[in-house]
Amino acid sequence: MNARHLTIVLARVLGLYFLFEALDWIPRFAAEILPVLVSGETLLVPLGWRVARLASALLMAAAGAGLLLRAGRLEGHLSGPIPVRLEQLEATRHLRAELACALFRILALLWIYWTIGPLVQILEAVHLSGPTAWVDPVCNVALALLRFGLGAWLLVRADRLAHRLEHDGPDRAPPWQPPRPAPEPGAALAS
Amino acid sequence: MPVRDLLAVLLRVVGLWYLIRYGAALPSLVAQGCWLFFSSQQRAMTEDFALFYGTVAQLLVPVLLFVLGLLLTLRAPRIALWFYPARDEAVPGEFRMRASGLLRAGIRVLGVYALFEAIGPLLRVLLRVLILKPHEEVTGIVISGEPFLENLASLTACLLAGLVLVLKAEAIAAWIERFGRVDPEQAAAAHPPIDAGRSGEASDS
Repeated sequence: MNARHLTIVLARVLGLYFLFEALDWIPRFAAEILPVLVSGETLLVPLGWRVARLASALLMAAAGAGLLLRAGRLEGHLSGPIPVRLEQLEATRHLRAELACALFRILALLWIYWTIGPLVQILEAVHLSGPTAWVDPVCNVALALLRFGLGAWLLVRADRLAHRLEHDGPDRAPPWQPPRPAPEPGAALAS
Repeated sequence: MPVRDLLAVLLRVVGLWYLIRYGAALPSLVAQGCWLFFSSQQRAMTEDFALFYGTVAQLLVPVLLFVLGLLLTLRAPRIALWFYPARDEAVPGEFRMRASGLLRAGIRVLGVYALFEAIGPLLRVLLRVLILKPHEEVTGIVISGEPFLENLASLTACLLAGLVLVLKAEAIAAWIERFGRVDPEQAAAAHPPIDAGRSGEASDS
């Protein structure tokens, strides 16, 4: 395994991290929008900011998914046209999948660990009262469940996901091939 | 894999992290900038300065980190070459990966991260000193105070940590490696190979 293969693996893990982080925004948006819908409270910040933050989350999700699925192509763009043999890529494909699997599992454990954050916030918001006091705890429970669910899913499915990405995913990290020389004008006629 | 390549890979990953983190934040920043710009027309002189300072500090830091992330992503191999120059590689494979090499590369990456984290406080301190200080009498905003000192302390800590980690990675790694070093002969004596033990038992019986 060389630096190019390692870049592909690490880029995939980074992509999954950003994808998960973008999903974290769903309960956060709910926590901001629900009080407005339930009791007609005015938004603390203008609507344009909300839309912009939604755009930020979508951009992060798209970038994460792109990195996860197209890490090989990105690496090809970054490292330039250094020829990599197809056999070499095939030989390291299993190793890359194994490494990605291990890193996915670490990410999964991290995500399960980060369930603690919203749970602590639920305890902190116990003393709140009012018609929309339930919104924050409910959204924090949703966030905790989402993080735990994603972490648990990744922990169980890390191996399958890593091998699928490397074997029959949309990106198979195609090797660079030198451009074919243009045929001479009279070559076709001569043959 | 040479340790130089590993450093390039890790720097590239840090660059990608900054690129996506701050690239995704750009829509929010644009919205924030627009709101501050359009609402500033109705405000007094004092608030205008505070708004200008706030806008510049909040917009410039992420934009700068985004650009630096892009540069780090694209130029990682060249940056790695600064630390492991080709001319120093007298013997081919001089920089071949060892555990110590991995530690040095990791320390340098941490240093680069600390230097990047210093950019935010640095810009805030500079803006306060260069923009707010000359207009202190007009605005009534005093540059000393808790946020300023907080930024100054943060800047100093990040800058110092970053520079020490980047420039003294070799010395730090060597110092760390002194602890818990295992003598191969003692380790072999304490844990004899399994086959040797079995053959000993067989001969005893």
